[in-house]
Parts: sequence; C-alpha cells; structure tokens
Amino acid sequence: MEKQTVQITITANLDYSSMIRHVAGEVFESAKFSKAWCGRLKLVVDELFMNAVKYGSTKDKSLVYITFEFDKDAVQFTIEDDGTGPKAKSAEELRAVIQKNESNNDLTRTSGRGLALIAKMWTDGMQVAQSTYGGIGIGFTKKLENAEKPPENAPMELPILSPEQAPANLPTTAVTPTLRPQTPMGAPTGSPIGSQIGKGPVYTVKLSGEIDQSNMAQKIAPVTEQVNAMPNGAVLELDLSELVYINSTFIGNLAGWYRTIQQKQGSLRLLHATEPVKEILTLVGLINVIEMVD
Amino acid sequence: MPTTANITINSVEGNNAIKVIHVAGELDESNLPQFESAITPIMEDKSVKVLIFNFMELKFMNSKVIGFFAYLYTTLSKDKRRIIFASYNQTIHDILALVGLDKLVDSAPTLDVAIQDAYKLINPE
Repeated sequence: MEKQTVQITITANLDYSSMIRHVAGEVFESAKFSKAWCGRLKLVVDELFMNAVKYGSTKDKSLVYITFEFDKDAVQFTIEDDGTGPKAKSAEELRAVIQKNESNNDLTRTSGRGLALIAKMWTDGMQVAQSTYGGIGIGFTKKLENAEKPPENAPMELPILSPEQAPANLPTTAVTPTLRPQTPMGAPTGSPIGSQIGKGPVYTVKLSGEIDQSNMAQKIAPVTEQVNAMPNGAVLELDLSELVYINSTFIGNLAGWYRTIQQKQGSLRLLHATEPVKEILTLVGLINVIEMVD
Repeated sequence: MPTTANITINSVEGNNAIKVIHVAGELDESNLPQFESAITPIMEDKSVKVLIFNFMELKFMNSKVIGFFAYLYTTLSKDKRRIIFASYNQTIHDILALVGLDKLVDSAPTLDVAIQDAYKLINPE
C-alpha cells in the first residue's frame, strides 16, 4: 500500500470532536487496526484535539491542522495549532511536561498532562515540535505489528503472584495479624445498604519506599495475599508511614483491594499516609472513600 | 456537528431507589455539561440508592467524562450509595481500566444483571 494522507483544516471548536473521531476511526480501520485498537487510538486523537482547541487555540477563530498518514505498516497522526490559546506552551515546555508525567506515571490527571501516559501505553511514541502555524505540532506513531495484542502494563493485566510465586526477599513489607476488640466500623444504622462491617480481626501490612512498575508485583504481593486470605468482616490496615511514592497502577490495585474487602464485609484503612501519597489519593478521590488514619 | 448523546432516565418498576440512566451516542467535553445537568438532580436525591448506567449504546467517552464519573462515585460513596456500569463495549472498558475505575465501580454484562445486582444492594440478605 502506498502511503495515504488525510488532511483536515478545521475551526478550533470542540463541537467538531465527534467528526474528528469519526474520521480517525475510518483511517485506523483503513490501516487495518483491530476494532479495539481503533477505539484506543481514537481516544488519543480526541485528547490531542481537545488540547489543541482548549489550550493552543482561540475558539472559533483559530484553525487546527490535522494530518493522518498511513501505509501497510503504521499510522502517523499530527495536529498543529496556532498557539494563540490561553494556556499555550512552547514545544519545549510541553515536552518537559509530558516527560515529567511519563516518568511519574501520573494517571491521576487523565486529560491534558495525563495524555502522556495514555500515549505511552497506547502508541509507539509521541512527537512534539514547534509548528509553522505558530503553535505546537504534536503527534504519535503506531505500528500495526505493535497493535496485535492488548497494550502492556495496563492496570488490569498486572500479574498477581500466588503465595508460592512470591519472591522470598520482601524487605519492606510485613504482615501482622492483630486481634482487637470487635468495633463497628461506623456503618449507618437503619441504612438499606451495607451492614455492620469490619468487626473481625485486624491485619496490618506495611508498605514503604517507592512503588512503581519496576517493583509493583513484588511490593503488592503480600497485600493481595492478605486480602484473599482474610476472613469476612476482617480489617486490613495498610501502614503507609514510609511509603513516599505510588503510581497509577498501584491506585488501581488499591481500588481493587477496597472493593474485594467491601464484598467480604470488611474494612480497609490507610495509616499515616505521607503527603505525596495523600495528594495522589486526593486527586483520584480515594481519600473520600477509604478510611484514613493519621 | 456537535457530539450528541441521548440520555433517558427511568426508575426500576416504580422503585425510586434504583435509577437506570440509558446513555446512547458519545460523551466528550462538548456535551459533558448537559450530561452533568441531567445527572446532578439524581445525585442530589438521596432516596436514590443505586444508579445504573446502561452503556449498551454508548460508543465513546473521553477522560473528562471519566473525571465526572470518578467524582460521582466518590460523592455517592459517602452516603453508601452505589453506581453500576452495565453493558459497556471494549472502547469504554479500555478507558475505565486505564484509570482503574473498572476495579472501583461495580459492573454488569447486561442491564438485567445490573438490576438484579442493584436489588441485592438495597435488600441485602
């Protein structure tokens, strides 16, 4: 297949988002991406279009320039703005923001800067450059050969180690079953939903250091093991006093533990979370959901 | 050609504690304010204990919409009220999974299962 090019020049207005996504879907389908991947890449296009309109352009006055190029191997997408928007950045500034959020895996901000992680997971690379139209040109490449299976490092694909698989050296975690007098966990009386929960034994797991993709499986194995093993009505306390960094995949696991424990009529408490961890929990709203103890 | 979404809200068999919100079309930042306007009254009505979002005909939502659902989840959770996502497709699942919302919010493969789950939530044995 010879390289095909589709170019769109359109007024900066989010009302055109649907049309841009539709064209993107047609392009990715023509390039032979699976339906699942067409959906993922459409989202990336949508995020880039939204950013170009909101931050890089003057609504209804600026033009946005979109280019799709594809052949039998890959697709390349680029969008350029005129840089007249309220929060326009230079290419260098935007590169720095993306790089900062890439390395932090900061999924808590899922638009704009969170685009960094979406792009990292779902594309083969992003490019940022100064545009001849005055603003920024930003784009991505995706090869067909890299789109033949679900993306790597997606939170739902994280391997959960069984007790037999857990590595022997777990220097920063400890599981301490602690029996305490049964105490109702504050469930409202007379409420049609829920019942008295968390009246059983209390288990404590300490997490410390930094948790990211490089050590996720090792760090969380004791917690997952404890969540699976604890009886109905039990309490799991996570001691976070020495935990200084968590990434979005950990957040996904935390949400999963919370839900499993709820289903067991138990309770999850987070003890002594450090400020950086509290900040992330606040951003995703989990601080309002999971009991925090200072 | 603004993004369009059709939103219909029903109670389940006259049971006001469970609301089903059928969302068809696409949701993004351009029509999110209208979506929020439709959902906010239900969110503020504390007699509604379970909100079921039927996504069978929802083709797309972006990160801004996810942010609203995350806010909705945390707001309702304070009063022990719940959300169930029903019948979402791969695209919707991917973005929910990206931020971990699929692990936080209950989901059901079909609307019927979601309604059964909702009854169990408001009438625990």
